[in-house]
Amino acid sequence: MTSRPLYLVPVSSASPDGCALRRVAEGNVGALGEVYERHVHVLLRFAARVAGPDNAEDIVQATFVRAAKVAATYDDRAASGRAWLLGIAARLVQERRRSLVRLSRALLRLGAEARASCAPPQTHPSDIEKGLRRLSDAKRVVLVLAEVEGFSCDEIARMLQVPVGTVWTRLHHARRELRQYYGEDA
Amino acid sequence: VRRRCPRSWEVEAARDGRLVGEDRERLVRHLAQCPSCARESRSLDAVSAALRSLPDFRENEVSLRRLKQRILRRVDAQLVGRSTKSPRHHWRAAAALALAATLLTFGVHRAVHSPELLDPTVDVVETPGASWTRRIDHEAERVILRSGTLHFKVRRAPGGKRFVVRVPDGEIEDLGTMFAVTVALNRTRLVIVDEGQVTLRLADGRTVDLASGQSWEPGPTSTAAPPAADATSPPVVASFDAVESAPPSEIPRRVAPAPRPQAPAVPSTSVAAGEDVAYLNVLRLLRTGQTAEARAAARDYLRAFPKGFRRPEVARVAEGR
Repeated sequence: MTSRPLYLVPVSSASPDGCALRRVAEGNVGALGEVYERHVHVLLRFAARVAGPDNAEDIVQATFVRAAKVAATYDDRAASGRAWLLGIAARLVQERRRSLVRLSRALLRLGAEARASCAPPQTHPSDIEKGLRRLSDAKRVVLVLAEVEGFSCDEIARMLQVPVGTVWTRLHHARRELRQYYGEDA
Repeated sequence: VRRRCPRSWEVEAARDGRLVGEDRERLVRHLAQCPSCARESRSLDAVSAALRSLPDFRENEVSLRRLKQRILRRVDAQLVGRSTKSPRHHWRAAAALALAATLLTFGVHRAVHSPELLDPTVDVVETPGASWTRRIDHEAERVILRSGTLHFKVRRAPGGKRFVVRVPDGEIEDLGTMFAVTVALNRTRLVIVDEGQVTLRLADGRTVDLASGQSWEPGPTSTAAPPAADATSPPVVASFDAVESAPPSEIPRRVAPAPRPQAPAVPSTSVAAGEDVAYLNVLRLLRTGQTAEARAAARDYLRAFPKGFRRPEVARVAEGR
């Protein structure tokens, strides 16, 4: 019996998003447009659900601007950049909330009705939307990623850079609060 | 009044990937027979369906094009700003870097040659009933934890004193991080690292390195056989004898336990993760038939997480119901 050596054939394993983001990291802004075309709908849907439709475009814009800044850190072995972009958007939602809270406090110190002026005008949200808005950002983000976007708890933990136990806990509390809102036995 | 099945929590656990393999198959069989669990499953399905049925964001082609242009213009300006920095700017950056390197070298040199090492800054948050003391010597700062749970946030200066948590069955060396330790019945039950890295050295010679997001708990053999020594007995690790023998009154307890409302020093994620691990440990012991150990673990859970969201189930285990 003769033995033949095995050779590894070098292939480019980078996904289309991986190639595009590598070009963005090298200074090719046009390549960001390709990534935008592929993922803008998912990002807008996610941002509208976790931050409200009025803030969705702002969140998406900030997501792509930050993505361009950190494009060099993207792992181009991943099949798609969707989870990576959603992770950036989720963190931005939480950062944005913190800065809004700081702004509200500053305005309150000046005697202004900060909360009223900061809150975007709402147009007859459905019951489920109302229930969703009552959740904290952290719980809402995890719930939408799991139930609407279909990510597993492990994937969400990697996206948000938190332990998977934290994702389980937030998801459990989010569902319980939502069900309590509807008067169900949690 | 509807009776709730004690296994109804498994429906959500299976959904989230916490219940796998045989346990999951058993649940599927159980679902066909149990109206309470079937109701729970339908309720979770309803929440999921309601969330998916939310109207999609109404976007139109024009606004999408406009948004794209806005983003590309913004990123372009960012890149241009980055690349048009003058050569003088580079010289300034190089000079600042050189200055920083000099200061760093000077600082490290001082730290190495200084007879007194810098103390680490440590924030400690204790759970009610935790028993611990703090000792400081010329090379390390040590917390001796006898029972209960402590959360630490440690900031160490380069070349500064070590920070070590002494537990009945070993020691945990911090490498600049946030972490939590639970001790019960003279055994370390749980170590959770939230940020950074710690090294756990056990009295039996084992060493475990834990990085951010990792946790450690003893295997079934170590929980089954707690050491005979009580909380006041001599320490297991010989290197701590000298520290232990010093009268506590000589070294004041400098870090007062932080009151509960000031808990932000420790992130809620570590508490939540700790609660999960403690709860899963109770389940694991129950499933492997170690009823006595499961009860002990359940009592630990109730002590460590008096407001834990699994409290009713765990209380039933602790009471042997």
